[in-house]
Amino acid sequence: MAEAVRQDLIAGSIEAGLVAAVQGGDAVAFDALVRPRLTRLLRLAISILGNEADARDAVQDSCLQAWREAPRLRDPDRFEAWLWRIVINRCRTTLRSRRRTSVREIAVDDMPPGQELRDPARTLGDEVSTVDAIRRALAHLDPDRRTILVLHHVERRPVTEIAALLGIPVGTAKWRLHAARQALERALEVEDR
Amino acid sequence: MTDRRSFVLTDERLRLALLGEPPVGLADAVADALEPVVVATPQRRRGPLAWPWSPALPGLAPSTTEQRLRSVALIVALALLVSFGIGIAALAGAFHRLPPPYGIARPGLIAFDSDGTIVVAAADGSGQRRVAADPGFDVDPTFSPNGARLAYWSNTAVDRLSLMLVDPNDLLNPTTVLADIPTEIRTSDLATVAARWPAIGWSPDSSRIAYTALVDGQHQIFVADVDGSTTTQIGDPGFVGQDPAWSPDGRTIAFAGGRTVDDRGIYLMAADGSDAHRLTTSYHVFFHRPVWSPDGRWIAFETDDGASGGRNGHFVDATSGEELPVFDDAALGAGISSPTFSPDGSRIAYVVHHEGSSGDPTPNLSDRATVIAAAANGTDPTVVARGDELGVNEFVNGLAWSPDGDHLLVEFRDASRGITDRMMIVALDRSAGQPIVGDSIDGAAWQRLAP
Repeated sequence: MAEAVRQDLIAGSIEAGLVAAVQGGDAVAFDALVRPRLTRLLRLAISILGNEADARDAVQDSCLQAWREAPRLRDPDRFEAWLWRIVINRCRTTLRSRRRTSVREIAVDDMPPGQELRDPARTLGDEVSTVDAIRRALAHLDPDRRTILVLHHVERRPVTEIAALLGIPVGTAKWRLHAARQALERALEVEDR
Repeated sequence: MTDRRSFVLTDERLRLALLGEPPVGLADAVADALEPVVVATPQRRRGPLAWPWSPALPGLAPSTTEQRLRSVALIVALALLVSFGIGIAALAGAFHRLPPPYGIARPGLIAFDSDGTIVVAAADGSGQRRVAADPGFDVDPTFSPNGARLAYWSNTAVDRLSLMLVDPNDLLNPTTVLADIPTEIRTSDLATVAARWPAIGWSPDSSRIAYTALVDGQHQIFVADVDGSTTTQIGDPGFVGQDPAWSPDGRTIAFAGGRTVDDRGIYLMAADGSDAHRLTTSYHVFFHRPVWSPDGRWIAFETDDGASGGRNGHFVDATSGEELPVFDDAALGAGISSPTFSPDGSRIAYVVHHEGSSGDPTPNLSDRATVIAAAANGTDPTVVARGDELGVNEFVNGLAWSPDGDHLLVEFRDASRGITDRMMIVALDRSAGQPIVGDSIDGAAWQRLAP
């Protein structure tokens, strides 16, 4: 544990140094900060936007924005969360600027409480089609709900961190996660019809 | 509903479905394409905030001599003005009077929601008491104008809200005015500062509440008696309407209406829903929460234009629809939110969000916010509180005037102690700030009592 803490402290110091260098105009330091994060950022953007091209544009624009605004970042320790927040906001802006709305939540009555779902023995093929069904249902969710599901289930961020990234109270983040899950359940019901 | 699904939605399956893995090499391609652009792009440096109407930065206190001279000049000017006004009024035979229940009042309790529970407290934040718990997630407390009742939303189920009422002096017996209203948990659409719930629009006589509900997927405005006996949809059912706000004389309702950028704006209609017409003429992506001035002559509202313009505050003449340049936000290069009138209508308060990201002046984790109070026409702006003075290193969510106009209740995000929403009561003269203790505090409201 002590060694892990020490490694974290070292990593934190290195990162703080890189952020300071970026704030001083060091483009090489910026590349060192951003490049290791790009895969995860692209994954998040693809999950929100639904296509690779828009995700690429959103992440590129966000990185450029981060470079431009880095000198105004008052708390260098929050660089990671700040960058993620820029990407999330950029993805939202991209979605709202699209003329054709491709996501629409389906209003379905709530499931009766206490109802259990059957789960018989499944094959690999069944599993692939299950994941595909979930993906189709996810496409029906609004981007805010997809975002919170990605942050929690893919990025494995705790609710407090999600609340900070989205700029909402912790209680609200808890409720939204619950609401997103419920909305997905309803969408899955429609997919299965 | 009959369950027809043959699999369980597990976390792992959800995770697999959400994983949109980028193609191999894409990250490197993005980084390589970015490098020359970054090198060629100048960075934005932090600079002082300059007001266009004052050569000095706000927040610098005037000297004692200056204060005295200003006070004397003000007294003389007021005396002349009062004499002139009396003469004109005597000739005209009519006063423009602040109609009740607006105007200066005695501050009573404050109310807020804390992690899904409604809490009331004394004005200094002491003596906190919780409204009796219910199965729902309770939010957005709003006092009636006469201070006798507290309304709030209870999230009883996903996309269902119940409108609740409670006596602020008897928190154990809340009543349900309207159950299971179909709606959605509304964020601030483009930049989520705090989850915004449908507005609870009290009528000036405290007998009715206007609210928004979904009908066939479209937002409509309803008016309900506070005992829930009568609920009526008002306005054109084919037209979208949200955030209803009663005029001080109770005759008109302002609301955010429209479906597309071409027809979105602040609209007015008679209290019975007739004569709906668009008031504003400017074009913005979203319009939010119109707020009437106490004399009914002006309406403040917020807009959100995303990356092309961010959040901004506006004032519009409620009769002519002329928008007034109260906030020189273009010159400031910042976003403005939460414009609100003082109880007597003589001043306005608002939050300036210093631009933290080019083309996207929405609050982010590196923003600072400043709370400003100014004369109602925007002149003489004064800094009431800066973000870092509040113990904030994120941003300010909302404002509420004390009923006597001497204080502001400021909702803000405090990241110095583990990222939570807090409140502080600040004096207009910046003499003291009183933090309200608690976590995840949101939705400030202040009770008005008879002087």
